[in-house]
Amino acid sequence: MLRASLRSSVRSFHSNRVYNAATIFRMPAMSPTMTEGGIVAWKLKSGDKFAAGDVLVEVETDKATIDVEAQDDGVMWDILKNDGDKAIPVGQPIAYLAEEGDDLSSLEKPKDDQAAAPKEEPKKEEPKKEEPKKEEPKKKEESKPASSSSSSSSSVFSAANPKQKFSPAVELLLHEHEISNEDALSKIQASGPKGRILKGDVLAYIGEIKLDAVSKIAEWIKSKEHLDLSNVVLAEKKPEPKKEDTKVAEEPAKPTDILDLSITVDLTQFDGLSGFKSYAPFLIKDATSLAYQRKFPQFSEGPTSIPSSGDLFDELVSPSVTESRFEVTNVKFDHWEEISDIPVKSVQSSQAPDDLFDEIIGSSPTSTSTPALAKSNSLVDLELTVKINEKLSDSKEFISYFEEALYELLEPVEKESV
Amino acid sequence: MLRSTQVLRNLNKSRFNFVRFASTKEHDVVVIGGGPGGYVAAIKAAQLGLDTACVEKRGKLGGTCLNVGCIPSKALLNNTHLYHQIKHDSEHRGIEIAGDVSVNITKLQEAKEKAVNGLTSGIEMLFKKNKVTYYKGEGSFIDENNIKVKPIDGAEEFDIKAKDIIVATGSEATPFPGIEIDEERIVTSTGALSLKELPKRLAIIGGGIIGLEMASVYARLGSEVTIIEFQNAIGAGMDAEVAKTSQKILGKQGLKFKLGTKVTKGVREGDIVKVGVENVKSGETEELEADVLLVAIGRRPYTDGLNFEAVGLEKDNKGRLVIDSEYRTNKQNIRVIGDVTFGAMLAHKAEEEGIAAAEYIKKGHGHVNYGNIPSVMYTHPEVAWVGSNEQQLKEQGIKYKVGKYPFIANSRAKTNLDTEGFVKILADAETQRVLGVHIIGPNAGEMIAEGGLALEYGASTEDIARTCHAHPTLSEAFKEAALGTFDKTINF
Repeated sequence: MLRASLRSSVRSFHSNRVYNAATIFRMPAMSPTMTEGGIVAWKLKSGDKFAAGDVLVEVETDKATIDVEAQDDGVMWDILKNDGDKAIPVGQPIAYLAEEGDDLSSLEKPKDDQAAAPKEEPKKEEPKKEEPKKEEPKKKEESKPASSSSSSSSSVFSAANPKQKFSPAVELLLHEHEISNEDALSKIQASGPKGRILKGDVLAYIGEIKLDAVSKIAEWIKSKEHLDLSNVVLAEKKPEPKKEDTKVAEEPAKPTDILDLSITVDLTQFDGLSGFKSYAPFLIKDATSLAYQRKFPQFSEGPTSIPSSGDLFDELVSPSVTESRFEVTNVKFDHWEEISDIPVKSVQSSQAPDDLFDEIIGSSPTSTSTPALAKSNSLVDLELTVKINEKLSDSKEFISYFEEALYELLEPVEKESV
Repeated sequence: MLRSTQVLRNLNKSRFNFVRFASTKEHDVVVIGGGPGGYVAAIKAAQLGLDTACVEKRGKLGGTCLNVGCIPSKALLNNTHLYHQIKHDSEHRGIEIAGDVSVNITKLQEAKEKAVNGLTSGIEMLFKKNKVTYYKGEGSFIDENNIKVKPIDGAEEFDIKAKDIIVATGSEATPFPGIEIDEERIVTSTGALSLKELPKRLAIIGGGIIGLEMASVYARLGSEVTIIEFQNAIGAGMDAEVAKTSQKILGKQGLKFKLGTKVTKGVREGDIVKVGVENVKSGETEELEADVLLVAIGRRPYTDGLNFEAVGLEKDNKGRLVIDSEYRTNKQNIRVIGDVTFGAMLAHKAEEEGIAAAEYIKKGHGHVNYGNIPSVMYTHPEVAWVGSNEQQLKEQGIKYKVGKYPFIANSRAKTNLDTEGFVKILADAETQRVLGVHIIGPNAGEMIAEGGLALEYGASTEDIARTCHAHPTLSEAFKEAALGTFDKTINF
């Protein structure tokens, strides 16, 4: 699902705050090509408060379903279009929003100036826009020309920034038509960024071109300023639910890349069984890093000693250190009857969830071969499944290093490799 | 053996100390990926006062761009251009070379490496200066606030915690189905930048920017270069007229083009590569032989090892991580920028997004103008463009005017004896607002910045034409082209 913030609608709502009038919330244009949309679901009821960032409504276009978020805090006053309503033209009012703290009973419903305005009156633009909201002395959002209402609910025009320095073309044109700087700043609507008056704005003001021409091109440019996220096609979910699962499923079929290790350990070296269990994950980590260090001794002193490789090409052709050679999964402890799993957080994949398979792997081979030892209270079998990365030629080497390191660290009673 | 046992024992003992004192490091922001998007985001976030860390597994910062992309290719392009010019373009300038001019490939590569290493270590310095914590390792998601770091030196993995996470894992070369890359004879751009010897014959699949730049490098060094492109034009995304001109000029430089041609196979046989091609229209087939085949058909998002599935981030059908307009994924605190998500795969676009993402985290707003992102191809002459091209304007039904000015009429270009190409400016027919700038010519990549500035400020072409440009400079061609959209040019 997509998410979009609706800056424009909420900005106009923001500017209303002192006048105690509600804001019209219009069907937003979620993409340059969107002309109509449907309401999937309102996330609020009438009277509900919302905060900036809250999802107000889920809107459906022909391409996607999009969450529309509030940019500012407020209250949902009245919902005009209900869940499931379809084909609502862009710009048509779909709800009234109010400020938090507004007295909803006395609140004025604003006139829908956009819809009411007849088209093709660009020249009358200035006086007309003042009409619908007389109580507002100054407002940027309302200066939008009626003729441009088709493609977007937000305006491309704003009041001229009084601090601007005119561009050379604008300055010359004003001079030619004897328009004072003051008049230009107060009377000419600006379509440029941050209230800049552009040459086109002046041309429209003096009647040389239609205002429509200015808004059309400005709107198009504006539409290109944003990433078009209106047509996102999500990747199809793969049939296999999870990586770990597939790995487990593959394992029985490919026994060659798996090594089962079982090591019997004397618990007196450790703090009993529980002590050994808490130590085991670190043991495996240690043995793993020792195995890697054997092959890459320069890394034993930490990252600082990484030689700056002179040849990128060499880096490419020899497998990099970061490529893992093996993974340890299915760590078990066979102590008396008890077979317990511990999560191996330190090692790549999480615990394999397949119980049946665990049982097969976890069956205790040592109990048959050396029953006396297995029964002993001070001994435990540490069982590991090591999955070999067959893509890399040196993986087997690493596993033998790993095994050796385990033995060095554990001083086991006996060794068994399946 | 005895000795090593001793070491192991010591390690064994220290283990327990570690366990006791180890705690997960916490940051405000963790950036995964230290390429142009990621490292810029990290520095910006740190400058905004956030405790920031960056996780990068390459071993060097700067990403594809700096290590195996834009930067090394520019080193090769510039130096091979100099060589080519000394060899073929000096006599008529009055420069006589006594003796032979030759290229030492090893040293050429060394010069490239020096530039790359200087820049990557420069970023490490910037990290230190801005107090960005740098983890050299592979970052992968545990959950939406925790990241596991697997150090590249094989040291023990550890977890870090972050309030906000920015994913900037970049892209990789898209493989060609059925063609196996060995980075020796069949290479991506990465291998093409590090060839140890000059291929006699170089075949390139893909007539985009990467393909054409590498084609230029090796053609200048003497390789026989053939470019195979499925489309009927080169330079994906270029204005059609510019693409055509570019192809003509590059053709004169010796590049061979097979357009409208698809590749049916590419196999290495010993030290040569056999490439099967088929003309899309006529169906005619042919087998080419090359010493090296470069696959440059584009790039695709890279998320290996990121484990984004663990937090439920979504991908689209092209493998891009799905975001909203503020770079947020479906997890509010995880943002994604650069090549691994939507938009043009360009370093400078990723940089802008990195800044914006950091600002969104800190201030709640940020800004990238996607309508104003320049593209540059560093062939000779260079090609650069920003904004819309003629095809796009026609599609939209927008009436526009074209101002075009050739470098042959520009005084500086003339004195440089480097006069191929032109500046072309597209402006709205009524408002004269600049809609697009397309340059093919010397220094186009630098000159395009003026077009970007014009677009950003909503300038009309008259604004450009009335701005004083120094004489004699190539940029006067820019001014004249602007003039040409609404009036008559002066010098042509």
